Amino acid sequence: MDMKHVGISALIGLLLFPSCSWYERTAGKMRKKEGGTTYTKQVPGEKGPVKLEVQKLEGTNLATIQSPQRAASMRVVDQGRGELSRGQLDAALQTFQEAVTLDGSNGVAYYYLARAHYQLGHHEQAMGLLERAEALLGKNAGWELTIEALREMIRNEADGTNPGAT
Amino acid sequence: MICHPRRHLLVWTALLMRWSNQQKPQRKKSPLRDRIRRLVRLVKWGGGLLIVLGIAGAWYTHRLSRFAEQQFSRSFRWDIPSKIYSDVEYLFPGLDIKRRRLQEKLDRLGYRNTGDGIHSPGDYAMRPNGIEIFLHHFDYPLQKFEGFPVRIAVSGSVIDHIGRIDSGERIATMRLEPELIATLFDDTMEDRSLVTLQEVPDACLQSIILVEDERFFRHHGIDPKGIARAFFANVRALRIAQGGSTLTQQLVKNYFLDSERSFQRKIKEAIIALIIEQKHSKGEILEAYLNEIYLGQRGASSVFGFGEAARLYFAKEARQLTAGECALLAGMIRAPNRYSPFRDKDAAAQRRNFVLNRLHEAALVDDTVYHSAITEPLILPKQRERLTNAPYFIDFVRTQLRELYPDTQLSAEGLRIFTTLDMTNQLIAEQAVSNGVATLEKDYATLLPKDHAGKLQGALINIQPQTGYIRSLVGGRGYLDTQFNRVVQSQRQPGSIFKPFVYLTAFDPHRGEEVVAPTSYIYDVGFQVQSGGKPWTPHNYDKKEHGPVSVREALMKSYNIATARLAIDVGLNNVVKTARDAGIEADLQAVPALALGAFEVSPLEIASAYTIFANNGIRAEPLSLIHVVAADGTTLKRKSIEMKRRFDPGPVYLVTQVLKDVFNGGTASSARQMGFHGIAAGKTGTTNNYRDAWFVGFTPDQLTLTWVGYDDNATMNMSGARGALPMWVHYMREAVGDSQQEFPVPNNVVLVKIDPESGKAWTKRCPQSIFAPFVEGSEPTEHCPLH
Repeated sequence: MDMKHVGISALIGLLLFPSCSWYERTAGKMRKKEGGTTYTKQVPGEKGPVKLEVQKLEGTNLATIQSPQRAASMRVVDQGRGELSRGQLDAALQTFQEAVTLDGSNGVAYYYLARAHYQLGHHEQAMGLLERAEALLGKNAGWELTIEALREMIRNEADGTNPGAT
Repeated sequence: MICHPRRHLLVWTALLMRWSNQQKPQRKKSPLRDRIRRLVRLVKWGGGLLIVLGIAGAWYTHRLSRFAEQQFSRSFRWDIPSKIYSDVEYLFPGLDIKRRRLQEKLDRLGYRNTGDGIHSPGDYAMRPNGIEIFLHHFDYPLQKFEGFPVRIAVSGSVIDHIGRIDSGERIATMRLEPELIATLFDDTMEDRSLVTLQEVPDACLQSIILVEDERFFRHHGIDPKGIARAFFANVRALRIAQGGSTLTQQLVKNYFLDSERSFQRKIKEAIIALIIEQKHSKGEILEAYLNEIYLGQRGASSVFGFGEAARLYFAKEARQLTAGECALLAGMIRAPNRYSPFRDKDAAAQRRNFVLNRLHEAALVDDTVYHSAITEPLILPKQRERLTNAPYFIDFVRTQLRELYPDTQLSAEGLRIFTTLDMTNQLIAEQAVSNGVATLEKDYATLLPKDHAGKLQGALINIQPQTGYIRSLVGGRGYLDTQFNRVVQSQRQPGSIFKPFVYLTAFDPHRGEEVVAPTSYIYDVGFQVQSGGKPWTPHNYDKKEHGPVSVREALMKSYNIATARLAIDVGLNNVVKTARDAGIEADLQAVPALALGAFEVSPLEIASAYTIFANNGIRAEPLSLIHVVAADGTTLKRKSIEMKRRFDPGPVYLVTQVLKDVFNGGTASSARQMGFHGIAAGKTGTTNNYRDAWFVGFTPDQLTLTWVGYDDNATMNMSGARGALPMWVHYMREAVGDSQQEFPVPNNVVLVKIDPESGKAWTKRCPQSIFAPFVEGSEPTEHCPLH
């Protein structure tokens, strides 16, 4: 084999390099692939550690979807927030409930529905609805904190350590 | 002093008799003296008789007066039936009004299609690129809504924008009031909505008085002049052309007395009328009349009072009636059914015009109002074809109401009950069930048992899983045939639709004794175990064994053997716990047959349990009743959405992903040929000996369960895919369309590269690879051993 053939082989190898399994295994780099970020992970196995190629599932961020139902639902949420701020708790609860029926994947509507229940003293219901809000909004750092804060207030009130919080 | 008329009467009578029997001293006889004597005797007897009659009359009048006061002072406590309403409907830009069948909904709500402009609440008009609606006023549970005119602009059939016609303001969302779906009557079947004098336009009061009792404000209960006038008019006409009864007498006749036609009743009526006039104002009497007068029929129920008549004939509140409409209703009093505009529009128009002419002649309406009213076309709301919609759903709601309130309260106190029902989808559901079952009987007649006594039955329930709202409920193919509500009352074996709960247990590392993933392999190979002291052997529906199969394939294709084996491996008690956590309260035994759904449950229960799949592990409690409001507007009962996380979202997601494949290569693949192309997950169910055919399928925001079978558990030889799936497809295509919404991905699910043949971690020696979902923490712990 002369140098010309070596050179051509090397060129072909370089072109194929990105798809080489050896590269994939040893590179250990995060790579964007369709559907999510790929990384390697090691898990303990019965016969020794097992190296896995893992992809994080990137589903739709339900907090930020745009749809006519979402837009309508958010307007109703705004109406409910107004009622909540005026102390019209029963009306607000009814309004937030309608917002949720308009768009059952609107985590914001669930959050405020939970809030209205909390302010009416319905702690168990509030907690359950917060779980739903969290499932829908949890990927957003801001909402994670807001939800946790309300959860804390509910727990405290249920324990009797923070009465009358609004 | 206590009055005892009877005792006084006896005393006087005794005295008179004594006086008449007393011996008189002998006198000289003379003719003049005899005549005087006879005259005095006559006067004494006559006077005595008058006194007796007077006392009797006083006693009778006193009795009638007490009776009238008792009846009247029950403050016109008419029995007002309670009403059950559907849920509201929101309209907003982006909504497809054709899919939501908006025009049909407006007709059901009693809106009148005017054809051109809209002028008053209850009018609507179709336009080339939209609809104009003058919204009804409506008392929502916590808010009074005053209607206003809106224009809904559409592009194709999708709303582009909504705006108020009066102010030009754009509206982001608009609410259509709930539909009246049922009225809860007592035995009298009287329907009325109470009104006060102030709530009724002057034109109505004037029309009534002019037509029925022109001298109402001048007489005191009975009108001798009116009686005389009517007498001569009837003689001239040689028939009963006029009545001489006053409004007060009519009220007395309708409200206090029975319908017996007799002289004695006429006397009673007149006396009570006089008493009423003495004790009550003209206003009180007129108001009672407005609420008591009979004004027609709505099916089997009778409509009384102007309040309900305004709704029946014009779909309006009484205060919104025009002069022409007032004239018609007043004119109808004489013969409501003869002059009903539903029956004979021309006769109704003529009668209306007669009254309007009288009003004009009496200068009670000016020329402008007169001409406008007399030329006003009679536009009526579409008559409701059925008086009770969604009968099975109503029965279900009534059962809950009876637990809260006695029947006497429900049929008499005018409660308003607001529910979760979506009437548009309910009608689709009813059609899906009735057509679906009829089609099965026709197309598969050879499979069904010959000359079977009972009809093949079907049932459907649709729940919004994110809220638990029951949107449609059909308990059978025909309510008139049988009121047995198969969604709620029947207990049937769920069969294979229970299997997802087995797999959920298996996928959850915190539940099963053995953790598997959809890509794990399991043996679909025959086996036998002891169960209840007897040998038990599962069999597949195709009578075959499939060897080692992936867990995904076992669920997708509903293999009994593999599923039963899996249930035993993960622990039957764990499967029971999973079912309980999902909300199944049926009697569950931790035996191998449990895995194949060999227990009884209602369709409602199993559908509610499935909400955990649509909601990634959160269960929504089924809800049908939202609000109960008293006649005075106070909230008596309010029920809210209740949700609780029962499962880790990761394993639930894995099950849902496999159930999606049921439509794509699994037992429900035929749904695609039937025209359903949306993203959904589901499971077919067929019980032993083909006694039940089930299908439960869901998108992230709709969950629908269908069932087909015989009430007596006879074999019908149809699987879930053949029997129940077509009804499901019909409903989902019409009500939901091809939803492309994906199920949300939880945080703790990852895709791992595996070898598809072994289901283990991929190595470079494996010729193929796929990325398959796993719950984090339960990824493969072995490399592929095959390559």
